[in-house]
Order: sequence, then C-alpha cells, then structure tokens
Amino acid sequence: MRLLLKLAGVLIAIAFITTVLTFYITWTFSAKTLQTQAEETLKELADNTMNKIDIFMFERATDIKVIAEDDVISSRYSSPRNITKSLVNFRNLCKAYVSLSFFDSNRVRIADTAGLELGNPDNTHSHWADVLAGKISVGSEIGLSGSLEMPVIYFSSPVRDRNNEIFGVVVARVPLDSLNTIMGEISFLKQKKNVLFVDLADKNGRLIYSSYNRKGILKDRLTGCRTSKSKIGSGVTAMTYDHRYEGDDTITVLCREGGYRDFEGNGWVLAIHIPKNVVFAPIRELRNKWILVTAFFFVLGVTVSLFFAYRLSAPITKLKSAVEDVGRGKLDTNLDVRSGDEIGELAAMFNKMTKDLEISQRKLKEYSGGLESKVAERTAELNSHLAELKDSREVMLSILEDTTDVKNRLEETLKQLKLTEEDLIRSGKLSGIGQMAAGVAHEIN
Amino acid sequence: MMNRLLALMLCAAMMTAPGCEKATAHKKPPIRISVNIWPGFALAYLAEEKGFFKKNNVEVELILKDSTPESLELFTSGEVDGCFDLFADMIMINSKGIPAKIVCVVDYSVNGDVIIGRPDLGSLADLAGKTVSFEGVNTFSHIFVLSALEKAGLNENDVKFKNVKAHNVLVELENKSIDAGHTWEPTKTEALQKGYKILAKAGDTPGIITDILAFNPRVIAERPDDIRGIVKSMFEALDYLEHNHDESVKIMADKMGMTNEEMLSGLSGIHQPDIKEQTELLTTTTTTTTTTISLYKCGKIITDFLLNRGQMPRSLDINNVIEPKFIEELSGK
Repeated sequence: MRLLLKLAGVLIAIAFITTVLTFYITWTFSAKTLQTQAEETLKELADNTMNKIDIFMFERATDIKVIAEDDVISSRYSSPRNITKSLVNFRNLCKAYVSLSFFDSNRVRIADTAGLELGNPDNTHSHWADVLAGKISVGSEIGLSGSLEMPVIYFSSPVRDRNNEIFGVVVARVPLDSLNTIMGEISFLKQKKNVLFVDLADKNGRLIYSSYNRKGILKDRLTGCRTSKSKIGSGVTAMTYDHRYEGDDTITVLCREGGYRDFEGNGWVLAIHIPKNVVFAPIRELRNKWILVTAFFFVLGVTVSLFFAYRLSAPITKLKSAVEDVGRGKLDTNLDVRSGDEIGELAAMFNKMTKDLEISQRKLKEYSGGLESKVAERTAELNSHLAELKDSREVMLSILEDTTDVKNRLEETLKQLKLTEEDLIRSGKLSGIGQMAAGVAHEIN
Repeated sequence: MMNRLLALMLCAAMMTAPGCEKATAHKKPPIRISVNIWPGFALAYLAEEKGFFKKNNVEVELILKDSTPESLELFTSGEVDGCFDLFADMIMINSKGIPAKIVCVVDYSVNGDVIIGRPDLGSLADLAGKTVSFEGVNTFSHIFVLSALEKAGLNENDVKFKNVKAHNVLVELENKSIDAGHTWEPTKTEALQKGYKILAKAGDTPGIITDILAFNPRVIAERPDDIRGIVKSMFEALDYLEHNHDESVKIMADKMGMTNEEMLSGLSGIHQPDIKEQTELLTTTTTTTTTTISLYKCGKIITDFLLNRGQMPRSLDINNVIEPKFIEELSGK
C-alpha cells in the first residue's frame, strides 16, 4: 500500500504541477495579449471617433463659410425677412442647426430662424472676438444658449460686403447633443455602450460629452488633463487624465483632437475607458472552464494514477507474499503475473526459481531417503557384529571369570599351603612339606 | 481509500464550479411612472384610486411633477420606468438615443391647448410681424404654433417668436411683450376672463399635441404582463370616468390639485380615445379624423420638423417609437 501511495502521489503531483504551470503561463500570456488588444482597439476607436467629430466640425465650418457668402446674406441691402428666409433655407438644407442668426456689426440680432431675440444685442459670447477680427469660429465656444434653453456649439463667420468690409456676423447653433448623435453613429460604441465609457472634454478640460455622466456635461471639469500643442494630429498622446468614471479598474485611452483638412481642431480630448473586468471577461470565463475541466481531469488523473499504481504495485505485493510463502517453505507457490514488463519477467523468474528450488529439494529428499536405508543396513550389520562381539566378550569374560576363580582357589590353596608350610616348619617336618609344596607349586604353574 | 479520494476531488470540483443559482426571486419593485399636471393624465390617478392597478396585479408608483420638462427629465435620467408625456417629446428623446416606446395614447388635445392673443386680433393671419410665444424651442409647443401659423399661411420668417412658459403667457400678454402665445389650463381660462381671445386650438392641427404613455423598452421586454396590466387599468379608468363622471372628476381634480371646474374644463378640451379607436391609431398609418390622426402620420410631421432643426441624425422610424402589441392584445385583435 505504501508503494501504491508513493506512486500515486508522484503521478498526481506531476499532473498537478503541469496543470498549474500551464494554467499560469496561459493566464499571464492571455491577460497581456488581451490588454494590448483592448488598448489597440480602443486607440483605433478613439482615433476614428475623434476623426468623425472633426469631419462633422469641418462640415459645419464649410456651411458657415457658404452661408456668409450667400448673395442675400452678404448684401447690405437685404431685408431681415429675406435674410431669415435665406437662413431658414440653409437650416433646412444642412439639417444640423437648431437656429441660425444674422447680427449686425453692433451685435444686434437682425434675423433668426427661430424668430427669437430679434432686435436684441448679444454681448455675452466669446466667439465674437474671433469673428470681429475676421476669423471664423468653428466650435470655439460651447455653452447654454439663453434663448434656446439648450447647450449648443457655436459656429460663426464674419459677413463681408462687396468691398470685403465686415458688416455682419452669421451665427449657427448646433445642439451639443449632436456629439451624442455622432457617438451613437459609431457602431462599436453603440454595441458596447454598456461597457465603454466615453468622455469628451474641451481644451480647458470641461466635459462636453459623456456617455455615462450626462448630468456632468458643461459642469464637470476633467482635471489633470494636459494636452501639448506639439502633439496635434498625432492621435493618442501620453496624457494624465483623472477621469470621472468611478468604477472598477479601467483601461483608458486618450485621443487629442487632430483636426480635419483645414480645420485645426479646438484641442478637445476624447477619453475612452473600459473596465478591466470586461476586458478580461473572456479569459475569466476560460479560467472558470479551465478549473472545471482541470478538476475533472484531476479526478480522472487521480483515478488513473491510482489504477496504474495499483497495477504496478499489485504484482510486487504478490511477489512479496509469494516470497514470504516460499520462506515458510511453501514451495508450490506459483505467481500469476501476466504483464510483459520487467515485473512480469521477475515473476516468471521467481516462478522458475521456486520450481528449481522445489526440484532440487525433492532430489535432496530422495537422496537423503537412500542414505537412511543404507545407514540402517549398516547399523543392523554393525549391531549384529556388535552382538557377536558382545557374545565373545561374555565368553571371554566367563573364561576370565573362571580363570580368576581358579586363580583365587589356587591363591587360597597357596595361602593354605603357606600356612601348612609354616605349620610344618614349625612342626619340623619342614623338608618333606617343602618338597611337597614345591611339587604343588610346580603343578600350578 | 480510492473512494474517499474521489469524493474529495469531486467536492473540490463542485466548489470551484461558478456561483450557485441566484437566491429566490425577490418581490418585484413597483413600476415607476412620472406624470405632469394635465387633465388627461389624471386618469392614471383614477386608476390608482379605484384600485384598477391592484386588480390587474401590478404595482404602480406615480410621481407627479409640475411641468412636462421635469417629468421628462425623470424619464430620460432613468429614474422612472415610464412617463405620461407628449408624442413629440418621445420622438425627440428617441432621436437623442434615449429609447422610449409608446404603449397607448392617453388623449388628444382638442381645445385644451390654444393660441391665445390680444382681443384686437381677428385671426392667426393677423399675427404677421407680431410676436408669438411658445414653450421651449423644438418642443411640441413650437411645432404646434408653427403648424397653426402655417395653416393660416404664415411662415417662420413672417412672425417674431418668444420662448415663454405656458403659465407666464398671461403675464407676457399683459406686459405687451407678446401679442399671442400658446397656453393651456389654468392660464387659458384666466386669459379668457381678461378678455384675450383664442386664435387657434390644438384640434386645428390634429395629432401634434398627443398625450401618450411610454415606457423604457427594457421594462417592456422584462415585464410585459405589468405593462399590459397598466394599459388595461387605463381603459378601465376611462370606462369608470364615463360611468361615474362626477365622482371621477372629483378624484382626478384632487389628485392634480385642480378645482372640479378646472378639471371639467380640462377634460372637455381633450379627446380620450377608447380601445377600438386606439387600435386604429396605433396600428394603421392612414386614419385621420377631424380630431385624431394616426401616430405614424403625425409622427412624420414631427420628425420632419425636428430633422430640419438639427435635432435628429436621420429620419426616425416611427415603428421604433410605438409598441402596439398591448393595445392589440387587449382589443383581442
């Protein structure tokens, strides 16, 4: 079991590390790619949007020039009624203006397409300075029109008589909402209007359009917005910009107004923000799927590795118990391992080994069986010899006994003879007795 | 062992699976609708008071504002789901990219809106060279005044204009800063009492002053049953008004802060089309009577007006502004 766990552990660890590593690499790479892609897309979008705005501004500049040079309008002798008629025609033709007005050089409104404020002087607007100096004002002023009660972009041009003398001014008012329209025409902005946050600020950083902060238009100021003149026409520049979008972390691109044809632009700045969580949504989704798939494969991997580990370690466990069996003398153990790898070979060899061992042991047994009978035979033989020997020993012992007995009797006799001799000596018959004893001793020897 | 490991893995997999199902559906918020002071719109308060909304299983919150721009602002800023407003305003805001769909007509102004002028003026044609007021540039009021003048043979360049709020018209007339102006109740009655004279009525230019009920298309898509309930309640209120006139007028006058007389006068100045009539107005393009006109037809007049004045990027498809399905369903068409 320990081997199984080790094997499974190693396999799982490898699978896990590979997965995590692959995931990490994929994640960082995709995140970087997505961020770059998003930035590029937004840059292009910002450029296109700004360009579209500038084309619109250029068209208005053209309109105002044409209007200022209109025969009726540029004649000192036209009646206010005819001038109004002419202006109404232009209004209906251009379809871009809330109203068009003609002012005399004293800033008194002579004609107006909406018929408002006629005969009243207009002293409040800043674009007058440009116009009275002979220049055309193309959206240099944006503000709330008092008579129209709506925010407008002002376009104005001096009107010159035949002697090229300025005697009046035409003013055209485009609703500021037109910017909304222009943005609305950009399909990408329209499609992504819930995720793209667009701000447009004039050169002073005043908000003139916002896709999400309508109430802040002409009120909010976008601070930290720095533009550099040298960057005109270069599109996106590196500017800091404290945008008002208060959401998640965003990717922001900026585009400075580049102008169009002879319209140089007013230094407007377009900012497009996209929340990072939107940009990264696809890979987030991918990540979630990844985790699911990984979890599935992890479970699968664990199962498979456990299975393989089991497959690998089972024969070894079998081998182990077989060896134990053999150790206990159970030599008929046969391993059932059919794998073709080294373990299979090992098992086969083990089987062969036990078989060989069995054979040799059997032989040994057989041999040892023969030896025993021989030993028994010899032992019997020896025993019979021993019995024989025992018999002869007994005979000899009895002989020896007999001899000893004789000897003892002789010694006894001798002892008695000696006693008799002594007696004889003592009795004086010693010589006869001595001779008789010598004869007896001779007899015994 | 294996089983335990497997179970553990499965558990881990479950935990990483994306968020559980949303909690049980919470109570729907009420449908918020902005209203401004206008006799026709008082019908909504009658529906509320008589429990028609509740009966149709819809919770409605009406928010009353003094003037059209105020109530419209609530709608454009997204603070309310729907608004009782003017057809022309709906075209205008749609052209500005703020979607709104008309689900039913509430009323047509017939005598309610008038151009009231100095007593010495004989007719509209006498306004040449004079100053006429309307309320708001490019609003329904502007369109009404210009249409009425056009009918009398006067162009924009024949008349001077002044932007004057309807309730200030009498003051301006008294100041002699205008010669005539567009106004409605209660200024209309006050001016008449001072001897001023009606030069034109809304009924002269049918359809220009059409009061409608519109909703954000998102709300229509998400809560069609509630919208149907509201439209149904409006017709039930109209029916109730017809059969219990005095009681209804009193309720409506109270809610709008008017006297019974003002409410009665106001109601007499409008035409409230029933479901049958509405079906034609909202679904056909040709219907024209003396007082009503198909929304599609007068929509074209309004669109052209706004288009010439730089208020619209392109001709608006009126179909996008009208959602006739509730009227169709309710009329069983």
